[in-house]
Amino acid sequence: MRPAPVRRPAPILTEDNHTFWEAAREGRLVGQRCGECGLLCHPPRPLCPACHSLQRQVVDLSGSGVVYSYSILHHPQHPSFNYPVIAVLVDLDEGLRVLSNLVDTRPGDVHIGMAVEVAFAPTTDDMVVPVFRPRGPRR
Amino acid sequence: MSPGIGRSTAIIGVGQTEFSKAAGRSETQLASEAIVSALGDAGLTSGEVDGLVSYTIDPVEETELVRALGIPEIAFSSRVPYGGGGSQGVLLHAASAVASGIAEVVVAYRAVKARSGARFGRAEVGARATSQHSGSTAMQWCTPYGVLTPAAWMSLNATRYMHAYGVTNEDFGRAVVQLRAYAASNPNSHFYGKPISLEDHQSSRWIAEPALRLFDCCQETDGSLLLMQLEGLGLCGPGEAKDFVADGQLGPKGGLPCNTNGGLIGEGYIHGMNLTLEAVRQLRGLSVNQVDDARTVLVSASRTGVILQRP
Repeated sequence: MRPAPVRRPAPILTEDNHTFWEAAREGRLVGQRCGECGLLCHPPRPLCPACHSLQRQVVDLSGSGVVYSYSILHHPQHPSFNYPVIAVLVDLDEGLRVLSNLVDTRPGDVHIGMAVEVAFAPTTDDMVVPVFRPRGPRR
Repeated sequence: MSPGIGRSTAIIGVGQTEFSKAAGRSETQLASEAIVSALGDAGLTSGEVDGLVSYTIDPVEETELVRALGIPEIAFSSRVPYGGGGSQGVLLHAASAVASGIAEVVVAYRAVKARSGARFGRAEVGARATSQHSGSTAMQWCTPYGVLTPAAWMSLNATRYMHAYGVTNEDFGRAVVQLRAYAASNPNSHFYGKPISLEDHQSSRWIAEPALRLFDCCQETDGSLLLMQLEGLGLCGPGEAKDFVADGQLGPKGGLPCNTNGGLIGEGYIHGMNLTLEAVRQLRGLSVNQVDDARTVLVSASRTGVILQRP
C-alpha cells in the first residue's frame, strides 16, 4: 500500500476569516474592502481599521504580485509538508501583502522581486489554500 | 517605564534554579525554588510577598504558589502576553503595582520546562482560532503554509533586511560567535566551555535559508535578529549593525557589551527573564563577564524593554 499523499493542514475557519478561505475553496483569491471608505485590507478584520465601518465587502484580487521576502524552510520538519518549504510574502498588485508558499520552482531560483501569480493547493478536510508560482513563460 | 516609577521601585532580589534540559520536577517546584532563592537574596520572607506577576503562557498558577510558599495574602496579580517578547512588561506590571501602592513586594516569575515538556520551537500545526495571548490568533495564517516556528516567522523579516542592506548570514554569525563566547565562560550556561568559531557557525545546517542556520537559533527559537534590534533601538543606523558587530563592539571591551550571560542563544531559553537577571548581576558587579563599572543596562525583548540603573 502506498503511503497517503502529504497534505498540508486545513486552515482554521473563524467568524473573522471565513470569507478568505471559502473563496479559496472556489479557486478565488479575495481581499476585504470597506463598503464605506473603500480601504482594502488583508487579513480580513471585523471592522475597517481606518473608518471603523462594519460594512465588509469581499472583492476578487488579480492574484498577481511580486515576492517581498522569502524563506526556504528546512528544519524542523512536520509530516504535513514536503521539504524544503518555500515561504513567501507576496506584495499583490492591489497593494496587499500575503503570506503563502511558492510552488513549481526550485529553491535556488527564488528571489525578492520575483514575479508570481496565484495557484491553489489542496489541504486536509477538502479545503484549498492560495499558493503562488512563478509568473510569465513557464519553464 | 516612567522616571517616577523608576525612582520609587527597585529589584531587591533575584533567584533562579539551574538551567537544564530535564529538570526532573514540576514547574511549580522550579518556580518555588527560584522564588525562595530570590527572597533569600532580598532578605525577605514569603510572608512579606503581596504580589505575583508572570507571563500568560506560564503554567504555574498563582494559587499554587501561594499554597506552596505559604504566602498569606495577595493584593495584586497580573500576567503579560506574548511570551518572551512580553518578558520585560512583567517588570513594568510589578513596578506599577508597587509605585501605585497596591502592593509592596511583588514577585515576577517564569518557570519553563521547554525541553522535557511542551516545546515551542517544534513544528506543530495545532494552531487555534482564538488567542492564548501569545500571538496565536495570527498563527492561523501561518499554519497552512508550514510557517510553524519562531525561526520561520522571523526569517521572513530577516531575509528582507538582508536584501535591503546587503547583510549576509555570516554577518549574523559574527554576533552569534560573540554571544557564544560569553556563554562559554558562564558556568550556568548550557554552552559553558563550548565556544564556536565563525567557521563552525557557517557549517551548521540551514534552518531557514538564507537567513538562519542552526547556530543562529536559540535553544528553542530564533535569536540572531540582534542586528535588526540594534538598528530598531537606534543604537546603530539602518544597515550599520553588521559593521558595528564585526568591530567587536558587542564584546566585553566593546562599546556596547551585549547579552553578557550568552543571551537566550547561549545561556538558556527562559523567555527573557534570564536577561533581566544578568542585568541585575551586571549592576551589582557580579556577572561572570562583568563590564567595568556597569551603571545602566538596557534589557530588550522584541515587544517590551526596560532600562535598569544602579541606585
